[in-house]
Amino acid sequence: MIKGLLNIDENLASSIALRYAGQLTDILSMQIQATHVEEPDAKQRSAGTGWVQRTWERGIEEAGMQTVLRLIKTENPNCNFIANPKIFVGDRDDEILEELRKGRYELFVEGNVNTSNVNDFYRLITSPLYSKSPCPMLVLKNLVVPKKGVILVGDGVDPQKLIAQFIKIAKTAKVDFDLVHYKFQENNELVFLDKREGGSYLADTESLLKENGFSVQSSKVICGTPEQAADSFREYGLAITTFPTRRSPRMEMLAHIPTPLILCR
Amino acid sequence: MRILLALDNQSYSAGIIPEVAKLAANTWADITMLGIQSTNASAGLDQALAATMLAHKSSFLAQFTGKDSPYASPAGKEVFSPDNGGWQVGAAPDSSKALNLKVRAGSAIKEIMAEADQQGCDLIILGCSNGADCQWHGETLNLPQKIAKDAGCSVLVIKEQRPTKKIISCLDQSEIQQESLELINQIVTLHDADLKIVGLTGPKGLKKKEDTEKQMAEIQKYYTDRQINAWIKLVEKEGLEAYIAKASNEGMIALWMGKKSMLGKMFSSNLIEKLVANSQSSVLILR
Repeated sequence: MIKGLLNIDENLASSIALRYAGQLTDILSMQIQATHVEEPDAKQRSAGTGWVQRTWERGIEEAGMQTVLRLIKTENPNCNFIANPKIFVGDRDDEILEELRKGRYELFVEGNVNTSNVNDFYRLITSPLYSKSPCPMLVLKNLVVPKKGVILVGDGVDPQKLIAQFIKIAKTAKVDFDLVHYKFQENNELVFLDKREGGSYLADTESLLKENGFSVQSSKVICGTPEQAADSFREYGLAITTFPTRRSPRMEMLAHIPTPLILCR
Repeated sequence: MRILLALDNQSYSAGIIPEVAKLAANTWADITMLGIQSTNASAGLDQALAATMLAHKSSFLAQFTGKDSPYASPAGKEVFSPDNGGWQVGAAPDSSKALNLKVRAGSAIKEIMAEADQQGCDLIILGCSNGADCQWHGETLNLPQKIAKDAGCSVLVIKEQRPTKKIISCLDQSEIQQESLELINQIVTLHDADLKIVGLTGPKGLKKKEDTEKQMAEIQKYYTDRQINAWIKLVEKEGLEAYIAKASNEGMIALWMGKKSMLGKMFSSNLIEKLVANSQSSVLILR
């Protein structure tokens, strides 16, 4: 059973994440620890030290706990929670990174509503939390039923690294996966190419999956603009790929993809 | 729900009947089918148009064959009788819901608007010619666009023979009416289409992001409870026009355009006309 850390804030993205997490713990055989970071602004920061500082922090933590419990109560997810939510006070990215390392989590989960601005996604994946994360990151953009998953390969994807992480996460998964190689091209509509067009990316990934006792339902090569490709993944309830290393059509495609997305390193 | 179905004798009008019948079957709406004759009322009823309207009604009722129908079929031959300067055929007496036929004389735009106002319609539905222009044959230029722009109620312009696979529903900043949520629910169900809910973000003149998200969360729950998978997307105010133009090629656009609507302020009349004209799919303006 894998161990995941779910970040919760009081917003739409977390509402989606909580509801999806209920389904996720079932299909990925996963235990979840909920967390929330209270980030006090400069005005809120206590000027005191010692017990004054600790009392102030306890008050902030208590408020954070109430927020998280209220959200959990509202969404009432059918989640396999490990323990009570962990509340931290401080810088969001730093606190979560520390918890991910200390708790040896195998997956970080959080909601992040899809926007039309690719820069929002770029900022997310280059944030300290995502760029230094010790484990794969699951970005929940929409609430979908994870009936089927997809492994995404393409330019910049290292099949070895991707499949090593995929095996860890999906070893007990109760859903089937497809394998898709994305190629960028300005087309009027999305085109499906012969599997041979996927070259070594597709062949290597298939071999690695086979070596590890996995098989995919289908493998295909798609070709089109990032938006066209992203839109075609709506049939999937979960997508897994590696972090894009630079701004590229693949990064744009991942920015637009509406499906919950696991990014590995 | 009260629907005004504006029809003429062209194939695009005949083509929308099955879709309207499905919507009517799900909503049990009161329906008025309205035809407009360009000749003066004093010249008498245009018999060709009257025959077309009766054929439209038969086609509508035929969609319910073998199913429970709130609309009773006429017992015998139907004839138009004079009514308020026009002509009409009333619903069958044992009909649970109204299915009226009307013919009015005059300017099509004016008469459609007047009928919708008089009846307190919730929705006007009309078809339009295929291709880039979206017109009504032989009528004032851009009739569908003008109805969509100026009507006091919601308007659905159905493009000819284009299946709706996706409905992109742009969330307004004003209160969202239960009726319009339900209308979208029905259209999504009828077409077995995907629903995308687009929320607006931006610095000026908009609700706080938290409020927009709260509204989106409520709408998403509304649809999730009805087993409809609603995809969520946030679009910046500045990028909305470009986004809508692009999205209109992917599926039906549904815009909330109430009186206090932010979309109403952002979308000039010209833009609504352009959207209706250029969209590859049907367009729904919600008021």
